[in-house]
Amino acid sequence: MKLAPIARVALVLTLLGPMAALPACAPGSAPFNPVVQSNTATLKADTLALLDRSGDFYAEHAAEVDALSARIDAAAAVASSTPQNALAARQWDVLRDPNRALLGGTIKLWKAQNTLGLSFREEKKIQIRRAFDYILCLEANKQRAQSCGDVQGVGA
Amino acid sequence: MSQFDDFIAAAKANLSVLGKDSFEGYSAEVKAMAQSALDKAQANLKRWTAQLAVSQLTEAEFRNLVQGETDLTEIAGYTAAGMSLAEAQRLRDAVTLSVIDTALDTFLKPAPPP
Repeated sequence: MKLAPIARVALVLTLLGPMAALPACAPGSAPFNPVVQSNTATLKADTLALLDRSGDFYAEHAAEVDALSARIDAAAAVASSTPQNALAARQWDVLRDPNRALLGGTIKLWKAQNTLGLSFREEKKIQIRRAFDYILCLEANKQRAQSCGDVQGVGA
Repeated sequence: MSQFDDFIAAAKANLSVLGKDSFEGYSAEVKAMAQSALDKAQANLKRWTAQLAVSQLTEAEFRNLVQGETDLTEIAGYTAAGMSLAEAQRLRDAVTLSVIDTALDTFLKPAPPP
C-alpha cells in the first residue's frame, strides 16, 4: 500500500493527535460561532458519558441514544446549512454515519451486540474524544490560529 | 514465532509506508512526527490484536476500532484545512487497512487441515 505524500502527512497529524499544531482557517471559511463551539463541547461530554454506559444492554439506553443522536443530527444540520462550512459539515457526517466506525457505527454495533465490551469502550472513547477535539479545533481556528492542544480540554 | 509476530511480519508492508524511508524530501520535524506516528500505530495495533486474540475484543469491535482510526484520519484531514474533500476521502481509502484483513486472517482463519 502506497500513500500519497499529502495522505501521509494527514495520517501523521491524526496519529499524533491533539499535539499537532494546525494552521488557521483557510480564507473564506465561515466565521467562528461560539454557540456552535459550546454546543459541540457539551455533545462531546454527553457522548463520552453515554459510552460509559454502553456496557449495559442497548435497550436500557435506547431513548438516551435516540435523544443524543437527534442532537448530533441537529448540530450536523447547522454545520451543513452554514455557508462556507463544508469541512465542518463533512466532519459531522463522518462522526455520525452508521456505516463508519465513529459515533454512528459504534451505536450501530452496540445495538447489534446488545452490549459493548470494556476494552472496546475504553479504546473507542479515545477515538471519539479525538474526533470531537478535531471538530472543536476546526471551529476554534476560525477565530484565531491555535493548536489542537488549545481545545483539547474544552468540554472534556 | 508467535501469532502476533506473524501478524506484525504480515502487516509490515502496510506500516512501513509511514517509515523514515518514505519521507525523503520532508523536513526533520515531519520525519520525527512520522516516526512518532509509526510508533503510535504499532502500539495501537499491537494492543488491539492482543485483545482480539484473547477475546477481550470481538471481531466486530476490532474491525470498528481499526476502521475508526481511518475515519479519524479523515476528520483530522478536514481540520488540517486546505485538504480538499476528495483528498481527504482518498486518504481514508488509502489507509482502509489491509491490516484488518491481515489481522483477521492471522487470528481468526480456520486451521489448515492436517
